[in-house]
Amino acid sequence: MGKWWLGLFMVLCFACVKPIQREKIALDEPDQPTPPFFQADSIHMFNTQIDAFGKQMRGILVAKKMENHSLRLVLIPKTGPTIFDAEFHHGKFRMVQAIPQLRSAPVRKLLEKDFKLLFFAPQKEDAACQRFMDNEYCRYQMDGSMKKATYGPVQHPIITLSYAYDSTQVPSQVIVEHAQMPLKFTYTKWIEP
Amino acid sequence: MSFHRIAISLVFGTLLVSLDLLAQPAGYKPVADPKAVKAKIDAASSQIKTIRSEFSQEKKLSVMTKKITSKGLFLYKRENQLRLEYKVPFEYCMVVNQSKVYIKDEGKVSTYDAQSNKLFKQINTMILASIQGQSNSKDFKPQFYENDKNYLMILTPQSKAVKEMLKTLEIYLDKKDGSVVKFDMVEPNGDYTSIVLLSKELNVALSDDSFILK
Repeated sequence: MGKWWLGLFMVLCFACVKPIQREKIALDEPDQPTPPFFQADSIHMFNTQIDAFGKQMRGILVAKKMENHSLRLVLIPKTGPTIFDAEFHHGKFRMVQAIPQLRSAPVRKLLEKDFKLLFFAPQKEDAACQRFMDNEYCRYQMDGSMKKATYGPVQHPIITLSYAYDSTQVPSQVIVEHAQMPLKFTYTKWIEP
Repeated sequence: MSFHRIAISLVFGTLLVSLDLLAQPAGYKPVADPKAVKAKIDAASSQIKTIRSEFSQEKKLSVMTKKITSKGLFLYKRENQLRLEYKVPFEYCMVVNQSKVYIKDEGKVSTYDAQSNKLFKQINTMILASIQGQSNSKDFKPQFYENDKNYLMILTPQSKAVKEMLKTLEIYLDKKDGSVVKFDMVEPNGDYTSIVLLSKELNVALSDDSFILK
């Protein structure tokens, strides 16, 4: 009977826990793209090559930071209709439109993970490993014009991102390779003439 | 009929007419006799054996204020041979030869079987329907409009697979010879690809070699 304050104390404790957890998630997975992308420009375009299971597909990836702070990602072929149109809004990934072949949940999850690594991963000091999404994310300095990042167990990464740079801060090329399946995405900066 | 009923009928009648006018493409009116126009287009289209033309492509994406434009050479040979050779701003070539699709990008040629590759089958269906003015195709439901110079055929896809990629195919045909002037592929979200054929030559000799990529 006289322990009502204990109940109140516990309620207050639980009430405090939730916001701390939310803040932790927000720190690990930012809902805004991280530098160097979208610092000077609101739009980036990449000549994109997809090598998947012995097949190849090419197109142009348009990545745009919208006025409502969402990130829109559209992959178009050089001829024909849009391959996919997706967005990240408040950290949530949504497929706006896609060819039927890309609509399955595993493909959608794969694209979500890849694009999170590409545009939202923490860009701290080289070789610093930290928790990102549900695994280890490490960045390495290779040489002056090349950087590498890995995702997954440090010894056996699931995904490797290789960055090449020209004179600008924004990478001129990013190669995303999956270790567990024959899948590689090559994004090369494309400036429309 | 009571006054209220007449008033309601008038309001809804006017609304429906307004909606119909809004759905009508700018500068075009529905044809008076769709069957006759359909027959005329089919007859004219059957006379076109080959097309050689320059083309200009515009791609409008809702995420971009500027359109992406490209130019190149367009070749078509009846029944199912097509070459779209992009020259500016990138070099890229797509050839459709019966059931085969060849793509040459940055010097590398890839070959696909349009029958076994769903994506290419759908793209193949769309592009060939545009060029051949397929008003008879079971895959599309046609609507016909006209102005002084052109017929406009709006094809709405009927198959679920094509519907998911394409809202309409809008084909502009020259009233004089029934040949394609321009075709727009409009996607469900309103984005579109518009291809205009320029300096068109009809029924010129085209070698079969033009429809093979090595």
